Formats: sequence, structure tokens, C-alpha cells
Amino acid sequence: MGTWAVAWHEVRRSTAFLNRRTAPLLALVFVGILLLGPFVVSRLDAQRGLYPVGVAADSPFAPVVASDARFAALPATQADLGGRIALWVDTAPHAETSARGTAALQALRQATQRWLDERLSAEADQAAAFPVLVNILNAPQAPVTAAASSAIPSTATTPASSSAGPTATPTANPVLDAAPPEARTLAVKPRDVNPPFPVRSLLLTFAFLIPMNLVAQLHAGSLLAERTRHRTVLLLASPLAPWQILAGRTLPYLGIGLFVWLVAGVAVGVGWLGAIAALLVIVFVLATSLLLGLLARSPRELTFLLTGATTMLSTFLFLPAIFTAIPQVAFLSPVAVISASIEGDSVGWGPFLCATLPLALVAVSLVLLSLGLTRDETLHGQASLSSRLMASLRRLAATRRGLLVAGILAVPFALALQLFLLALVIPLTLYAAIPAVVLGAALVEEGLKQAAVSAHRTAGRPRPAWLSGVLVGSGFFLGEKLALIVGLVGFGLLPSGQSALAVLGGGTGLLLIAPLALHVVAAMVGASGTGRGRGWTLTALAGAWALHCAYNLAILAGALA
Amino acid sequence: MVKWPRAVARAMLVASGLGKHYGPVAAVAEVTLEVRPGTIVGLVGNNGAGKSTTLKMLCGLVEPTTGTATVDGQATLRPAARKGIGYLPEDSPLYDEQTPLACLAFFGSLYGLRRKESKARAETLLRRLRLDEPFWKKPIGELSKGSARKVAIARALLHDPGVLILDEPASGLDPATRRELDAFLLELRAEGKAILLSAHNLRQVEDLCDTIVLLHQGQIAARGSLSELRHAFGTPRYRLHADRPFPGSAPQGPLHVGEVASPVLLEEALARVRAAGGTPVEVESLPPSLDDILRRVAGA
Repeated sequence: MGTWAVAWHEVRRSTAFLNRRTAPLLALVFVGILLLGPFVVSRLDAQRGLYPVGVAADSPFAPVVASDARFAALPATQADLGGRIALWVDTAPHAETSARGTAALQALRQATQRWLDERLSAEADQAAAFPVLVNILNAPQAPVTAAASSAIPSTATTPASSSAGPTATPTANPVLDAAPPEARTLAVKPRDVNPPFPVRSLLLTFAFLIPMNLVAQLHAGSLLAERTRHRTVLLLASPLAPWQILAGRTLPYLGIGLFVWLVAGVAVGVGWLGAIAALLVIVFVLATSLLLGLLARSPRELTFLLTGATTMLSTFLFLPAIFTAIPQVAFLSPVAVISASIEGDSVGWGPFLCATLPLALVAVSLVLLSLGLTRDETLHGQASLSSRLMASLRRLAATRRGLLVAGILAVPFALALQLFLLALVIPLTLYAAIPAVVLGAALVEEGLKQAAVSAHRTAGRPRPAWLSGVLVGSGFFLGEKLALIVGLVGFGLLPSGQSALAVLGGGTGLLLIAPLALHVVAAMVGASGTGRGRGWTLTALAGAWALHCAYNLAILAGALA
Repeated sequence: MVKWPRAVARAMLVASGLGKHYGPVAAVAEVTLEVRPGTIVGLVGNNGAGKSTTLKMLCGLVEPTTGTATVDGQATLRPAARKGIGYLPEDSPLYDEQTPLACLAFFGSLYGLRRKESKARAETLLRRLRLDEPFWKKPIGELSKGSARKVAIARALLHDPGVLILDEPASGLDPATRRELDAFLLELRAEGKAILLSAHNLRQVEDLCDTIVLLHQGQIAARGSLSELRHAFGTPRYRLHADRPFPGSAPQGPLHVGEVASPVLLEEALARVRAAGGTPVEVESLPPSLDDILRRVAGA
């Protein structure tokens, strides 16, 4: 009841600017968006019907051409090649001698491969469908000739997927055999290995995020305005619980997000997994604006924080999603799920969970931190951002259960920071990058665990350091194992977990005990210095870090051996 | 509601060993007090003495580092317990763009009041506070500070709480409105409300409060009724009327009048008058004001 009252009050307050002049204008803008949306969406599909193709009635490529929107099948004959059509397909493809013909032929090759892969993936007996496991080794080679290029698919990919024509024999490759010399050279360039960049779906997802950024600005701005005018005091003094106040202040903006979600979903035609992923993005954006609206002390600070957060979020959402050829990278982001859903590609549960679960856990963490901030002293004080964030963490980790939860919720943050670390070491040589990752990853994990312990140890009734370490270490272990399970189910996203599996010979007992012991002992070492001044804290952190590094290096050495 | 005699009635608001520490600094330490129905307790102290922090801990806004605060037996940190408290902050953080009636309707809904009930209570309170009806439908931002303060007081009383916690209730009010407010608070006391207020205006505290709690550096330095405090801490001041000047005196008609703060100083002033060949005309004994007591407690 109270939540709805606050929500309705927020709606009335934030729409106070509506009057006889502004209301029709806003209505006009909304109607315009609704009318223009589908038109814009249709125009965004820049590649639709890009290649005019003539298809013989008995051509085995007919279903391939029909399955790819880039081809416009026209009623034509081979005589039209070079004029109305860029490609003529009967038992083999024939391209016109031009850049358009080359590109069309290349597109047909990709479409054929995808069509075959999809059919094979749908087979009940996957061992029969993909009987050979192939390791691809990149090695320097001489410039590719037509003869060499025709041999590549049958040696470098699975036999089934290498066949170009749907009814072709494993050694025949009519696409490449029929390709002009330019096409044969293009066929082995790295860009040819990747599927086409999903411009349309990514642009649509980006367009969906633009209004969400605006909603985040409104949401956080409203929260900040309420705080700076000390109006939140009266809500805090009322019988409403903090979650009710925050829910009431957020519901109207969630409503706008859901409206955008619904309109965009219907206009674009997103599948239900994509819709869930999009909903998660909305919730995450609002969780971010909620925390920042409660943290910032001035509009200027809020602008700085929100700009930074939305930039980082957009990078995280879109950068991995571009790499559609590498699902392990692409499905780090829920945008990959949305994009695949728009493209009509199926997404398994593994990739879906990999793409959504970490972000969902971070969103939960942001909401919990926001709840921890919802106190008069933290909302209306002028303490630094870090000390207020620590105060919030202190409330979250005040109890034993809270400490365990804090350990679990530290995992997605650790993963995000470790990904960032990976991005940073890319320019380094392999010999510099590996130690940097090993040392940096350990520092990230131990630093996060110690932050949770420090928060707990400075709260009202702290538990002993050893117990705090056990709780946080166990929580972190649980979270990491959850991530490992999701990663293994999906793609095996946790290299350290996989290495441990390899080193320990797949022994599940040791696989569980070794990292549990590491996290608990290292957290206990880190906890031993908390609450005893900065010097002790840093010394204890260094000890925990050294322990973790030794473990990581042992795992790495074992894996290399 | 059954009205118990003040001495028998159970304390509605109880603070037990309340303390608030910010790192090594104790803003408030070991504050223990209680407010019974039909009484007004005044919290007095200099700036930074910990009055507002204590009040905020008592109404559940600030989590105490030590001790507990309860209203009608329930910890005020529990949201449900706050239904029994009417809190008036020092400033009036209301929604300037809303009318008093709309604002009160919103807060009524937070306390679970039905719309009709909330409207009726709001109108009754605004009438009792003598806020004229034409102001009820004006945006609060367009009201005078005194009128806005009346709306804020009405908001604190809207849900008919048993306990009122008022932080500087007369802040920013002119003397006439302040007198109206004092009369209103005495009416509320007569109705059986347990009222805890803090005030810089010590005269108001002297006039209204049954019990006065003096806070100094976050701790209770003294408590009791005004007469008890005078007895315990007050040194009477003396006003001397003489026909000759003496240190600290000022001419008043044919005489010289001045106040001295102790019997020793009085003796000195009398000696000076006599030495000048004059005669003391009258010596008045003045009871110490709360301000005197506060200054003495604070060591100023």
C-alpha cells in the first residue's frame, strides 16, 4: 500500500510539468515513436535483399537462399547474370565477374555453412553429426591459390560442415570451385571465417538502450533532488521499510522501461529468451541509477557517475556481443542473447545463463547496497562516496548470513574486474600477460573479500577475524562454483576452474576442497589485519594475495606440465 | 484512550543507554530518558550537543551504536513502531509544489489512513493550527514560513500518534505564531500526548516542559523540572537599585540599576555604593534562568 502511494506520488511529482501545452506535445512524440518505429526498424535492415539471385527450380541451394534475408530470389535465368542478378544457382553457384558477384558468392558460402550447421545441430545423434574433433592450428603459409583454397574447408573443419552444397560429397566444393579467382583469395581471409556482423540487431538493441539511459537519468535525478531537499527524511520516519521507499521511487521508471520493452519487443519481434535478457538489462540500468542516485552528493557528481556507469555498461553490453563468431566471448553479454533472438537464431540455456546470471547477481548487489544506504545519516550526510559505500556494505555484511551473501555477491564483481584486467593485458606479450593476469586476478579476489570482511569488522557486533574469513571465503567459493557450473554448462568460461580440473585429474573431491581451502584460508589471512589500522590491513592483504598467487601459479604450472 | 495519572502512566517513549559513535568520536553517549503520556520533556543544549542526533535515534532515523529506543514497547528501528510517532524535523521538508491538503493526503496514505479520514483529520488540524482555509489549496511554496511550519506540524499529527518528537518546533516563527504554537502544544499535552521537544528558545522550554534534559557534549549533564534544576545548579542573581553608580550599573531615572551574579559580587557592589556616600535602595533576588543553568553546566 505504502509502496504504491510513494510510486503514485512520484508519478504526480515528476509529471507536474505537464499542462495543456506540454501534454499534447508529449502525446504527439509518443504517437510519432509508435508510428515511425516499425518504419525505422524496416529501414535498419540494410542487408535485406542485398543480392539479387536467380535460383533454378531443382537447385539444392534453394532452401539456403530462402533462409538468408540477404538474398532476393528473382524469377530469372542464367542469361540475366551480370544484369538483373548477381548470382545464378543451379547445381552449383555462378557469380557475375564483379565485386558484387564476389560478395554474393561469399555470402552464399556463409549461408550454406550456417544452414548445414543448423541442420546438423538439430540431429538427435550429435556424435554422428559431428564425428570428428578438429584442432585448428594457425601457421604461416604461402599465398593461397585456387587449388589450395578449395582444399581448406575439407581439412580445417568438420567433414559435415565443410561440404558447401547441401547434397555435395565431402570432397566436392562447388561454391569454391565455381568461384572467380578474387573470391577464392577472399575465402580464406580471417574476416571470412566470421559470420556477418549483426548490424541490424545490435543497432536495434542500442536504440532500445537510448531511452533507458534517459530513464536512468530521470530516476537518479529524482532521487538526488529528494535527498538534497531532505524530503526523504519524512519517508524514512514513516512506517515504510526502506525497500518500500526505494520500490515506490523506482516503480514509475520501471513502468516506462517496461513500456519501451513492450513496444520495442513487439515492433522488432524478439523471442522470449531475448525478452528476458532485455528485461534484465532494464532492471540492471535501474539498479545502477538507484545506487548512483543515492550515492551522489550533487547533480554534477551524479552526471559524472552516471556518464561513467552508462559508458562502462554500454561497453560491457556491446563489445562482447560483436564477436558473434566466438560464443564464449559474445555470450558474456545479454545483448548477444537479444541480438540472436532478433536474428531468429536459437540460444541454449547455457549461453543464456552465462549472459544473464552475472549481470543479475550484480543487479541484486546494487539493490542491496542501495538498501544499505537508505538511512538518514548516509542519505543526507556529506561523507565521501567511498565511506558511504563502505557504510552501506557494513549494513549488508553486519550479520553472519550477510557476510556469506557478501562473499557470494563479490564473485560477479571479481569476474567483471578480471575481464577488465584481461582487456588491459591484451597489448602485452604472452610472457608478460600471463603473470599479470595471475597476479592481478588474485589481487582482485582478495581485495574484494577483504573489503567485505573490513565492512563487517567495523560494524556493530563483529565476529572474530577467523570466523569472518571463513564466512566470506565460503561465500566466495560458493559464488565461484556457481559461476563455474554455469560456465561449464555454457562454454567453460572459467579457465582457472578448468585448469584445476585438468591438474586434479577430474577428481571432484579435490576440485571442491582445494579452492574452498584457498578462499577460506586466504580470507582468514586477509581478515586478520582488519580493524587494526591501515598498516595491518595492507600487510594482511599482501599475505592473502601472496597465498592466492602461489596457488594460481601452482595450478598454472600443473596445467602447463 | 484511557488517561492515566501522569505519575502512574507507563512511559510511551523510552531511550535506554543510547549512543552514536562516528569512528572514535561519540556524538551521543549513554542517553537514558523516558516520556510519559501527558507530559512534555524538553531537550536542551548548545549547538553540537547531540540533540538532533538523539531525536533522530529516538524516531528510528539513525541507528544507534549502543542502546535502544522504544515507543510503546517496540523498537523504533522497526518500521511498524514508527506508526506511533509523529516526527517534526527542524526544517519543514515538504513538497513546495503541492497544496497543504494534497501533501497531507499523501502522508496520510503512508500511515494507512483512508482518503476521507485523512482529509477530515487534515482539515481539523489545519483549523486548530489556525491556518486559514484559503491557504489550504495554495502551493506550500507560496505560503509564509509560519504557515508552512503549521502544515508540517499538522503532518506530524495527522495519524494521531501517541508520541510527538519535535525538533525546534518554533524555528522561524514570529512571536505571535510562537505563542499560538505553545498553546497548541499545551492542548496536546492535556490530550495525553507524550511530547519530546528540543529548542534553542529556552523561554519556551521553561514555559512548556515538565521535565528538562540538559545535554552537553553528547551526554546528559542534568535533568529534572525547572525548579529542581534551579535548586541543583542555579546561583541566584541580584538586581541592585542605588543612588550612586557601581560596576555594571546603568542610570534608570534618578537611580542606578545593575545585576550581579553572586553574593560576593553583591557585597562588593554594596561596598562601592556606600563608599561613594550613597545608599542602596533595593536588592531583588532573581531566580537563575535556564540559560544561566545551561551556561553553568557547559562551563561557559
